[in-house]
Amino acid sequence: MVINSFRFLAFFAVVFLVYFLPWMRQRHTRQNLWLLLASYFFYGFVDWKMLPILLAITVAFWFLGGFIRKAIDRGNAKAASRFTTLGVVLGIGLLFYFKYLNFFAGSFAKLLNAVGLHVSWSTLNIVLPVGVSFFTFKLISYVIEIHREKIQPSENFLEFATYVAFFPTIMAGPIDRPGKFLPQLHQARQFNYNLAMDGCQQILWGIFTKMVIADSIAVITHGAWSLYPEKTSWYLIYAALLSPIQVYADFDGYSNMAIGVGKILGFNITKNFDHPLLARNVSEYWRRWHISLTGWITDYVFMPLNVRFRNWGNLGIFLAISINLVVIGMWHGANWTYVLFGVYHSLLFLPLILSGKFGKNKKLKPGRWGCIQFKDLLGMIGTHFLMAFGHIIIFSAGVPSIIRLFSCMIKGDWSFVNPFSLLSWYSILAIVVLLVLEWFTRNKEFAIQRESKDYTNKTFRIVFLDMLLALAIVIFSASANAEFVYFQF
Amino acid sequence: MKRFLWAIVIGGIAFFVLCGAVEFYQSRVDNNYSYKYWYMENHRHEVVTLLLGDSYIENAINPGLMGKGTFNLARSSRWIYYDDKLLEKYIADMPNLKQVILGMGYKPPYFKSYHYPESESNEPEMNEHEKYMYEKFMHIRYDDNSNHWLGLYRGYIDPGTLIGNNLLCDSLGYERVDGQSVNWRLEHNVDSNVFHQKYAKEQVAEYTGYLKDMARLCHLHKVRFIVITPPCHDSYIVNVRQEGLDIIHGIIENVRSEYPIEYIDYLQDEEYRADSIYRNCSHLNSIGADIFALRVKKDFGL
Repeated sequence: MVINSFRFLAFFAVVFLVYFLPWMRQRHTRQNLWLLLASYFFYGFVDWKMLPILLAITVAFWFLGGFIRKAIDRGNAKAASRFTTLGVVLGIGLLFYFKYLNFFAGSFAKLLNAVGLHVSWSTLNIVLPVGVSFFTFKLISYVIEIHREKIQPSENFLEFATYVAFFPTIMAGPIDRPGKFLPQLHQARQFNYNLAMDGCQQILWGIFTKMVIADSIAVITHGAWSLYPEKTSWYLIYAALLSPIQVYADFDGYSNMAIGVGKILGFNITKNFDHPLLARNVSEYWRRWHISLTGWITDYVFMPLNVRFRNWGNLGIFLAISINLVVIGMWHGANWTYVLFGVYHSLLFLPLILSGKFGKNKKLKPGRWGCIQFKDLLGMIGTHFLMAFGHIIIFSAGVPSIIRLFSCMIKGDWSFVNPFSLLSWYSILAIVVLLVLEWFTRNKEFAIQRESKDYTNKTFRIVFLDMLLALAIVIFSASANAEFVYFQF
Repeated sequence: MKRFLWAIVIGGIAFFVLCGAVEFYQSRVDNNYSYKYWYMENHRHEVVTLLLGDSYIENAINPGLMGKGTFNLARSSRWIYYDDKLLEKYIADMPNLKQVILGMGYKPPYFKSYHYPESESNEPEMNEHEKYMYEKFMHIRYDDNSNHWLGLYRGYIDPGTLIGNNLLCDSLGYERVDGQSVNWRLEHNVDSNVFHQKYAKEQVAEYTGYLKDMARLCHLHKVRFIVITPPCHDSYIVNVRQEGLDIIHGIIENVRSEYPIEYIDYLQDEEYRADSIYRNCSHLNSIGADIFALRVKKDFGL
């Protein structure tokens, strides 16, 4: 049951109508119970076998949170640290078991074979629970925040379980922090017309970017990543250049839909993207891209490392960033390509660190007639090229594939391919619209959001325009619906 | 809340009205499917030679050169299921039908997924677009689908041609393609291990079943059943494997053991080695289509 399907629409209609029944609105506990049941149904619908794991891990972390707080209250810092470490190890262990065990076992066996010790390590057939990378980070965040005394442990298991399993975000984020989300569960949500209309607009925009833009480009990029020996150099270059737009339209589309659904239910969910296509350098890019993940890693990995390496000068900053980015890379999955992706991005930071420009980004200012200044535009294009290169690394099947793909790109058939022949005119138009709106709506949360966020006036006009957009989605969406890119992570 | 629900209801109504308007407009615009359906409904009695198959036939045989009464009912990207169902539907009411010619390309028997056929994880899936077009305009349904109504609604030739003519074939069902595609040596190339794909075995069995049924129908109605493998360019043939050829020839032998079937494999035929006759590495262009039509006519004595 993906978020842009009719099944989800029917499911959500039932959830919404029951959730705001007068009897439900009186008590937040009732609303939370209904949300939890809906979330477990949603998760179970996707993968019911993993439901016990989700429940068990939720119970474990809820208790851990309580133990940490009790230890702090008793002044037993050591015990609090031990419980926190246990929580972090449990969370990472869970990720390690489900995501990385096969990979490390296989790599270790290869290494031993390479030095002449012949071992046969048949890898286990471990099934990856859906959304494990996302809910595990929520859980780790919970115990760390309690240990840092930024939040109180949740006294109500129902609230905590709803936070972990919240259905709009469990599959692919955004990764909400407990400090922001748990208090929202602590009070009854009243229906807010403007927020709900804003959510509808956001969902619609998300569906548009996903189904009209991302899915159209996916046909080209899928072809390039899997069939590169048969493609020309130009085709591979176009695919690489389109890939950042595809992944952005796909993941931002998903995030917009999740946030929009949350808004209709009365929640304020962390935003995941801040117009990354407008980034003028790699540092700015990472501040705008997958914000809920990068923010998480910055708080729990980069900042502690930065403090530890603070006496090492530029080398310390570089080391902290490198570890940070390799962790981000590895978060995506178990493959050396993800490690390489992290290393590649950390190398991109080097010129910024050495020139002293790291962390000193000027605010984007419009030039004449409100357009992008030429210098900024050059920075954006340059950053886009660097990101495109990174996409080849992350989407290749393995390190040898990266080398082969680059080899095909450089030594391959250089006969010219008209870039406009690869996509239909309406897909190209949609991409252009997206790029233009990126700039002109850069201060908004999403492109078609009303400036005032007030939807009480001219409702009919808004609804009619929305329906035109919906019709455009139905007609112009790609015939093949590709799976959301981030579901694989 | 009331206001929000009203907005949703009004929006929903507006949406369906808009969809209806577009649908009405689309239904007035002809396309290859609707034309071929119309032709079979109204002129099937005149047909002597019926061409069936996918783009290897629709674009590769000019029926105008094959003698009076030839009609090209083939359709690009179709799965053999539709050939079988069309034949089943019309053959009993085609008094002049003498022969059915079916194209069997090197690749089609191994898979029916046209979206990402290279993906190992992909379930064997019929081309969605084709499924809906056949259902909407030729009234042949394949199976149930969760997105059935949306797909059926979106069953257009190409949304980009909403304004304009979708009818690309001539009055005999032939869709003429001139010249060559950019990058034509690579376009529609075949994976050399196509016959090793995950669902290849199941699909060969399914393909054989439909082919056998078509042979049975022809035999029952005393109509010649001719199968041809169309020619391909050298850049395609380099990826063709003997193992794959053995499989498709095996399919023919399997059918022949039960019903009469005439078969010629033109895949590597020496007559079709020139670059100029190809639109891309596996499809003939209009020059090739003329040459090939005359050759088939001669070889089978039509």
